[in-house]
Amino acid sequence: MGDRPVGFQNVWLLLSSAGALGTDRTIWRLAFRNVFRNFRRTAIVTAAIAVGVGGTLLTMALNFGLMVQMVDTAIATDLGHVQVHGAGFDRDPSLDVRMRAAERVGREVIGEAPGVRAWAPRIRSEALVFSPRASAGVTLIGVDPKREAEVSSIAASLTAGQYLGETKRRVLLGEKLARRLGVAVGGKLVVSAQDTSGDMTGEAFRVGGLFRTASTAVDEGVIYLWLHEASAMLGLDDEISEFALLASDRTVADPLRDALVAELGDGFEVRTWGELQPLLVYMIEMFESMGWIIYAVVFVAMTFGIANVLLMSVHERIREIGIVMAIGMRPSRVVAMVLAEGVMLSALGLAFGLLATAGLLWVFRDGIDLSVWEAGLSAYGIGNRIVPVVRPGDLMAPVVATILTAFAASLWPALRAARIAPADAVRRV
Amino acid sequence: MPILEAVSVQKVYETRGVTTVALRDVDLEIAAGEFTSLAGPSGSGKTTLLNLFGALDEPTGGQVKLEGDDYAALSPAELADRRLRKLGFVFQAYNLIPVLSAQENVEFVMELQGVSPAERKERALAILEEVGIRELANKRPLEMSGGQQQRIAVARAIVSRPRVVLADEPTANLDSVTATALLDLMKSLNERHGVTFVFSTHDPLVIDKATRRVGLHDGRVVSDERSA
Amino acid sequence: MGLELRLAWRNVWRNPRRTGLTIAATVFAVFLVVFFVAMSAGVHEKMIEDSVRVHSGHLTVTGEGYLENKTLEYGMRWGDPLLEALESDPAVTGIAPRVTGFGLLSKTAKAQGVMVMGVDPAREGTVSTLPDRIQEGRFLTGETPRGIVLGSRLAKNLGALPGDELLLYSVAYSLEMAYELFTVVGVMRLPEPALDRRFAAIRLTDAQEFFVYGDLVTEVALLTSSAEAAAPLAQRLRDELPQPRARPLAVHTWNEVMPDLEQLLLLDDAQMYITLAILVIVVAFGILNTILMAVLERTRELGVMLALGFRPAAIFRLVYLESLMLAAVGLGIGLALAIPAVFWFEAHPIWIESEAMAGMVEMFGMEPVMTWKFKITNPIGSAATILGIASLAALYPAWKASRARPVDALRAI
Repeated sequence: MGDRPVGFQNVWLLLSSAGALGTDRTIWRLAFRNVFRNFRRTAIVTAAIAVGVGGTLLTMALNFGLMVQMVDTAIATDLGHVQVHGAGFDRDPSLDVRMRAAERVGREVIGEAPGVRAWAPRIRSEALVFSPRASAGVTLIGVDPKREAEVSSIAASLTAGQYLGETKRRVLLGEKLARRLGVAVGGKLVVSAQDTSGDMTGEAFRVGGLFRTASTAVDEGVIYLWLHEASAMLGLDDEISEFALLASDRTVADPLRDALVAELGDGFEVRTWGELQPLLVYMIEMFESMGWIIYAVVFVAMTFGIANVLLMSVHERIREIGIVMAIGMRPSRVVAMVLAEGVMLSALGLAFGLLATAGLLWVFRDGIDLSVWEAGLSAYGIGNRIVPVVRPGDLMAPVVATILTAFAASLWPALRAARIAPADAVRRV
Repeated sequence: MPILEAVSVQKVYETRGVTTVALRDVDLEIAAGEFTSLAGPSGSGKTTLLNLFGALDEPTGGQVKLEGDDYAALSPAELADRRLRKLGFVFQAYNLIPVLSAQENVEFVMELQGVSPAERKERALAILEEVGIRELANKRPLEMSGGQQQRIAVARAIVSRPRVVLADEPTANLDSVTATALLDLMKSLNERHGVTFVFSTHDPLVIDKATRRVGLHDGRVVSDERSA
Repeated sequence: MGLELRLAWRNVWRNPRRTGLTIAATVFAVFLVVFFVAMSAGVHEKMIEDSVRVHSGHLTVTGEGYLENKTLEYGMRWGDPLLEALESDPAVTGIAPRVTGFGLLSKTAKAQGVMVMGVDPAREGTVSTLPDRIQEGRFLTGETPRGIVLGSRLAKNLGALPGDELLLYSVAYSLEMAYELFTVVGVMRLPEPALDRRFAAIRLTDAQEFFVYGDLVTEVALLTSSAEAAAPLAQRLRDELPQPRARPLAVHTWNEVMPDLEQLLLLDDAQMYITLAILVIVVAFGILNTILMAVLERTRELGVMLALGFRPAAIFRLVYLESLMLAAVGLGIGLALAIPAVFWFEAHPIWIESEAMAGMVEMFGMEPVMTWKFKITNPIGSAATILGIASLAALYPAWKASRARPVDALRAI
């Protein structure tokens, strides 16, 4: 073949080929035909790309589905989208920091905030629970049953007995806690806590219902009482610990928080679910940066395979390319042709990969059962059925990676094709 | 007993709906030690007949026998064995294994036959000497001219001590000087070692050297002469 | 055989560029597989070590049923016979008996529900890092009567400082109410905020007195040399320890006590292996393509070889060998690069700079450091995988090659 072009010439070749790629339709048609010239070879490399793209995309989707579940569970079980507390609750989450005139604040401010779908008042306190057999330290949450059911999933998580309602002196606890205390629905419990004047109070309740959420922490450490009974027991007067709010979805939590901050002013703290549990946000961010790394790794591996195929394709056509250059095709167009072929191969693989993933996503649209790992999942508040989730933005990574791979893989073969000296090529058998 | 026999042989090819009759009802016997040419224009069936003699292909009708054994009665393993021990081949081109040197190419068949390394080397070098290219022993085929490659092919065909060497247009890609030299070589090997040579060719140079000339046309034997 | 090996090797290098690219891809994959498996092994091992040293130890000996119920009812007797039996096993490097219960801790106006752990001040440090986590004041000692150490957030919420008196209030084993005054001797920082907010430690003897527990304890945590040594030690102890008649002893390994950790590690591993599998499959396709192309180019030559007496089975073997050799070269180079890298990183772990990541990891009681660990199963497994995949990839081309016919040698084109 002819003399090696200098580095600068290579760059110029590539730049001018880009122009050809954009404008010349024949190049794409040729590329298409050439790709299918050796059907078996194309099929194999396409399969490789499809596996790479599809596999990675699916793994990412599963991972993200996990994250989403974790966040949604946390929001549904306890956090809500936004929570409002008295100022200072962040540092001292005890009964000392409470909000007064709760009913009016709730009705007039919280309920009227823009974008609020539902809201619920809560009283939170540390407490001890005693059964005939055992005792446990828990968090006591006094709730307004009707409002609570609109905001959190507790009402829907009942597995035995009844939700809080008409009957007085009923308490809801998690199955795990009930087991440890050795009580069933109807059993007797004493709930003991320190009231606002510093005295220990203890009152008797019966187990009204048992629940089971996706979170071990809630199942083992939280009990629910009727707000009024908690209030009376702890010596509160129209005072509560927190408001939990739901917006239309988790993405509009921020504007809701801002509106409330403006309305309520200094005596209150308003935080979104992300601010309440930064761990969740960290995990999502870490997951996304990991995704790019995985794509990079898989696609580098694919680059070798694609480059090989293109090199072979060029080699087979040395004579043909030589002739075509002899009769006047410019090197930049030859480069463009090979690049187009690389892009086409990659695009084909990408298409099949996406199709396969779409198919699998549809098959698993009701989620994949991971009960095998239940203990691990529930410690992080994740249920057993994970639905793989692909957001439109998630497709950007594989598409970008595919294009980059196509160009990276095609560079060398394309430049080699351009270096073919027509005279030498024609002489070959 | 003739060394090779074709009895009422027919060969019909079917490719994509097109039927070609390559050989119609051919009867031919080749005796040991003959230097025979099968000649004819392209399409006459000479290459096909050579393939059949070499058990590289099967007749559609009739029998082909080597030393009295009908190829059709032999298992694939036995056929492979015949090709290994009794037959030698020289093709028109692409005879040699490109990744092996000349000497290794010649030793190749002997290795398959299980000959010891020392003996292989000795015989290989001897035959390369005999065909006049001892100095190319360590070179690869791509480093030689066409004529030299064909000489090595002949050396390889002979060194395994076959009964018959079948050569398909061995001179087709060579200029007349080289071709003549190659033919002289094969003739001398034929005379010295008593190996039967059967050529498929349309090269007058080859036909000229043959002691028996068989003419084929349209799948039939049309002439058969012996000369001194 | 020598002939086939020689032929296979030379055939591999027939097209150096093509082979080179395929080998490069293989090296890349092998390197990543070995490197990341080693990283995962190192990180997981560190996670386990850090986690067991927060609290549970490698093994926990309890009364049967304690793990499921966690109440004082399921206690076990702690005394010299058991201590001697434990000390006599050389694999046991730390022994920490504990009484764990619940209570309300209050300082005048404020009360907090707490997990109260009675520990043996002399022994606790042999298993957990609790004594090292003191921020203010000091840890409990054998002499301090009624001393209590609080988690830092707990101390802050109660407004308690070393020297303050707090009331602990709970239900004793005898089912009577129990309340006592304790003096704060120290404040410690526990990594997990939820724990830090409700953890208090007192002396074992004080706990046994407070809960009217006699000489019972709720658990004995043990430390051994490594996580892997835990299971065999557990089995030995199950066979050897003296079993009291009243309630048998149960020996639990760390993964029974922290199943969520174990499963988290398994989940993490599963994800890693899936990604690595995708990588290996992509490379396998590359090998398949290379070998297949090499075979299809040689139809004529294969025909010649068959004509000379080479058997189809031998041709199959030849192509198969070529594929293995290709993979083996990639494997060799990949291992030659990866193994030294793993050893180097094993000696030079990487500390995590990012605050976000560091914070998250520390919350689980772990140090924000990435460690590598070399296990011989790693390169062996990788080699087996790569060679196995190459074998699979070779099947189709080898089969195709063995189907060549001698008559192909004679085709004009």
